[in-house]
Amino acid sequence: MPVIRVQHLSKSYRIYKNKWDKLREVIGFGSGRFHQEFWALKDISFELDSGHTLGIIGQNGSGKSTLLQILSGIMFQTRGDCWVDGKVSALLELGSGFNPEFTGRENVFMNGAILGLDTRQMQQRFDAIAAFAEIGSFMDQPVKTYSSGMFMRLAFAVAVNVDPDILLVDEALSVGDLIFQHRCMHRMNHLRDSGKTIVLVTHDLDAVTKFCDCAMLLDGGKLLEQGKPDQVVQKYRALIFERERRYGDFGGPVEIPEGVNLVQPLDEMPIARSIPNIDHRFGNGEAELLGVALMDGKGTAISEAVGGQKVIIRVSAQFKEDVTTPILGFTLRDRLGVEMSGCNTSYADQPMTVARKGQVITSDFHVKLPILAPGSYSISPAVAKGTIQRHDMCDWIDNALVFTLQSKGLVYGVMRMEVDVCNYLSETESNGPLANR
Amino acid sequence: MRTGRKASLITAPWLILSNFLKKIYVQRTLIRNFVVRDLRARYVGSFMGFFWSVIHPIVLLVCYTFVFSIIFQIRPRPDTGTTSFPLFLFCGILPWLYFQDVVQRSSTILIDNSNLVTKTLFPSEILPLTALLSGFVNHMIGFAILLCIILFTLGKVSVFILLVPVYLLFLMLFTLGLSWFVASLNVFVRDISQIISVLLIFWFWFTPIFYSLDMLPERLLFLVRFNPLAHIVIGYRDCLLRMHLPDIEVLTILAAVSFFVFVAGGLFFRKTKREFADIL
Repeated sequence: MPVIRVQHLSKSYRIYKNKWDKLREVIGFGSGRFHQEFWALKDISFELDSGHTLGIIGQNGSGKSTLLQILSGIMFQTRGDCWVDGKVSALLELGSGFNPEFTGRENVFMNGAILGLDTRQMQQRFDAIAAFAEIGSFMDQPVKTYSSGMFMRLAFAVAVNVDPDILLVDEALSVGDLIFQHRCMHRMNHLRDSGKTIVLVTHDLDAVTKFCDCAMLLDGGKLLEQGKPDQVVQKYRALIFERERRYGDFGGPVEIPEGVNLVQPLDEMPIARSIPNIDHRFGNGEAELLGVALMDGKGTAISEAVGGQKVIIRVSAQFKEDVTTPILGFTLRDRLGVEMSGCNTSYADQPMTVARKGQVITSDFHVKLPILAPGSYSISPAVAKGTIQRHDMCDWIDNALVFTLQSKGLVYGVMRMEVDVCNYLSETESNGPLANR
Repeated sequence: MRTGRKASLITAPWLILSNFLKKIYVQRTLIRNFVVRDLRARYVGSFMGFFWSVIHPIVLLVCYTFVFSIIFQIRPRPDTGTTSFPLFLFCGILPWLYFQDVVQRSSTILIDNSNLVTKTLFPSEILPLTALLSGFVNHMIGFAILLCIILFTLGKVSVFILLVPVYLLFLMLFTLGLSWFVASLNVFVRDISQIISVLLIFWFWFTPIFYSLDMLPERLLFLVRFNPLAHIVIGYRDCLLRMHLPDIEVLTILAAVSFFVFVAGGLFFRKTKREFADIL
């Protein structure tokens, strides 16, 4: 029996030239329309049966959060119907409604009241909440003294303990440390197994495949795909990959002549020109990174790789000044930011002498990827001048490119060692060392 | 909810009011939490705590008294029931301060709590209501002080004090209606809270708080006639100082106007509420 039924749902935000227009239209005097429309959701239809878990994925701005806000009744659709049957608890933002001046205990009761529980009901749940949040004696301290982890634990604890029929979660679980994520997931599993209906908006594709039993992909406000999680996730990955390839201009592969230490003066040098992401950037500005690309051995851009695969990591930089002994390189990090490895032209014993103002240097690093634990990894490219020991950073971009690494077989710990194993079998002898013990 | 029942002009107000009270009852836990939080947020962390709510109006009163009573030598007219200017002033300024405080705070209350409006399923109409209720607590403290002063200086209260709650009810309805209106308007046009501050200054001085009605020139009487706050201030003084039955006809009109503002403000808020999450 469906508990959520959405039919031809559309949502438009109105964009006004000025605020008086907005007011005039809302109040309704003065005929005519003063707005332009922006459709955040276009003709969405789906049903969700009781006890199912739905994962909604899509790029930023695809309408995921808007859909969740409409489902939770905070916002209203422009067209279409939205039917939600049951008590809804929406976890759109952890700790909204918390007041930092008040103690954890006061905030718990306050938040419970916002979620529709009276004081007596909250008292019954308080112990469970305190146990989940595990903040001990801080419960009676003002929330402003909490660490962000304590804050999130408490907020999540309240939200999942109000005992909803339908739980709507927006990205809330992707924050916090691993233990917190783990515990949230555990709790969510518990809710799922006890028959609650859960709608989860997330960027964590693994969570969707592991946790949800159906999924949908939104793109530009449209429902692009709906079905089994792995199938929807695949579709999403393909979509992202297609976008990245269209966005970037990577050029083809280059044959590197052997035994040449200097920069190849090629006129048709393929230059990487896309920087998919910039978390943090610094440098003295004498050179500027133009792009970074991850390609397979044939020079096709990829967003997924397999441990042991041969790939090309291409870094391009343009020099704004004459720079002696330039170095180009990158570091590889896992999703927690731990540096796994790295390489640069100097380290790889391919030093360069000088780069003139205006020149572009592109370095291709032909890498056999190590067999690491599957997950997402990032590449941070850099250009510097000097030597490994003493150098000035010209430009550095944190986590410019993110890719998913898969592995054939199990990886124990961080990486898989190359191991040859020999097993020997001996029949135990009655007078052997074991028997004597 | 209202289908099939035709409300007559007389029963309609009661239906609306009882409906309103029912909604308050349903949300009572939330409202109580908010009011307590609001009261504590004002004073939490401050050394003197709750006493600030007492000290603030008293300081204001002392200053006004100094200027008007000592410097300008103004005495209230003999028929106002008291010769003490501070008492005359206090009695008039008390309902005004309540009104001003709630309206001013309501004008920004939705923006101040925007994360509640956009991130939780939250009945935003209770926000101005909580401002009204926490202001009510302060008003009661002020009223208790006023009563002490009256007993101390005049030595008696009249039976008309029973009419003060009636005036207070109308004041609250009027204030709440206006607060809903202002709160909602400010979501769309942020300048409203500034405009309100300016308007409140005008409103304050055009309300007979520092002066009594008979000091007003004839041609300016309209300022009072169409000013519900003026009638409430006069009503407070009639009941507490003059010990005199207020004009019942005026009271009836006041009741109608306050109720109208209350309903209109509520309807306006309900109509615009759907848009809040989009805009905030």
